[in-house]
Amino acid sequence: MKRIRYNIAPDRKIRVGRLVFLVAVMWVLTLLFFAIGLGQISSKKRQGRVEENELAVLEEKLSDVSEMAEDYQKKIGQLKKGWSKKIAFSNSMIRQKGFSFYDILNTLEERLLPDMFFSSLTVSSDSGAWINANVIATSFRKMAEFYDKFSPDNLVINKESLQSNRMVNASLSIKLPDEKN
Amino acid sequence: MDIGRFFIDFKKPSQFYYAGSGGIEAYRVRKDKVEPVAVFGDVSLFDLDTSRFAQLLEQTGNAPHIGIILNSGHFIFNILEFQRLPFRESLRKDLVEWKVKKLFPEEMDQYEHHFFQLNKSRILSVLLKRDLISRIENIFNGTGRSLVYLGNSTVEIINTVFRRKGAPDFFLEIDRHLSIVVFQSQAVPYYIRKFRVETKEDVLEELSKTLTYVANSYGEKPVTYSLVSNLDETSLGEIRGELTARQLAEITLPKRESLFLPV
Repeated sequence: MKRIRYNIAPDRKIRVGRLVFLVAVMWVLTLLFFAIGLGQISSKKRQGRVEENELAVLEEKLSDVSEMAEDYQKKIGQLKKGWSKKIAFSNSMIRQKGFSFYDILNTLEERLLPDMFFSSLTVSSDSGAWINANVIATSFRKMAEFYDKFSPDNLVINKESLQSNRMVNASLSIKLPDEKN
Repeated sequence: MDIGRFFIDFKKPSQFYYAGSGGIEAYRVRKDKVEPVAVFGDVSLFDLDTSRFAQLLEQTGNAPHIGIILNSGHFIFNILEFQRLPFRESLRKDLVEWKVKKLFPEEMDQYEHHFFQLNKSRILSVLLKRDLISRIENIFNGTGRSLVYLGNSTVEIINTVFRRKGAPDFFLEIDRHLSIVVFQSQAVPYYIRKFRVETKEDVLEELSKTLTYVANSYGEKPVTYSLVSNLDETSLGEIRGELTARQLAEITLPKRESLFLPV
């Protein structure tokens, strides 16, 4: 329970000294807190400046590192290009080394019907290349049967003609699938 | 905390006069110690005029600032309970005055009313007739002294007794034929009763009725008490004996004057 302050005297005297003292203490505390607050703010500002400087240095270092990284990327890119070409050449060499003329000729011969023959044949070791062939058959029907054998593959009939000896001459371009590659 | 009361404290005088039923008692306060100076028996403060009072003051000291403690004879106390007290001072004042007007039959304008918050829901209301205060002021005018303290003995005893550790459940203040009993729970007064009786047997009878009333109305069964009195030791001893027989234990207090003087 708080003290009951019951005093109804007409000439009550305020303890001025105590009041002044309390007000002075309040002022001192206020100024002290104000000073502490200012001190805190300026110390935080100082700390902020130090951190800003450190940040600038780090940013500088970061940009240097970024530049170096870009250089390295460029060099890597150049190296890659050079090596890609070499690798592509090596792959092509390997492909060409592994290319089987025998298989192609065997396939063509298997598909060739009786009463038909190749008058000329051009085969390239490039796996994407077309085979150019001149085929002679005894009739258009035989030729058509021969064409059918190449229905899964790419077959281009460049020219077809009937010779004077009643033989059918066809100039063809054939692209067989690359089974090995 | 009342900010105003924290900053503004009033000077306490070094010379006090207790205006009781048995006369005027003069005390001096030096370094928080109370020294009795004189007793003017069978003199009522309100019967004095300025010159007689000035003589009395001359005889008891020359302190420029005087304090007077009145006994509770002219005071009207009420302890009021509220469900909720408004936070704003002005609203609280209106609410308390409204409740006091409901209890108090006379015109409140004739009275000086003060109220004090005891806890979250309880108020102590103190009424004193304004003309008594004017009379005291008139007595002081011309004495060349300032009346810087005018208080009440029961209120000061409540401050001193109930705010200490191991406070009694009630105290009985006896000033000749005037008795006041104040009950407390958790250091907060909850019931106050004043009665005027001639003999100590009447005191005990009234006290017994009051204890019964408190038990029935508040559900409280006090077990400890204290006596604040200027009665002779024999009379007090008899009162103590009776109270002990009713299984009440006394808590002895320091000297009477150190209880009602705001030291």
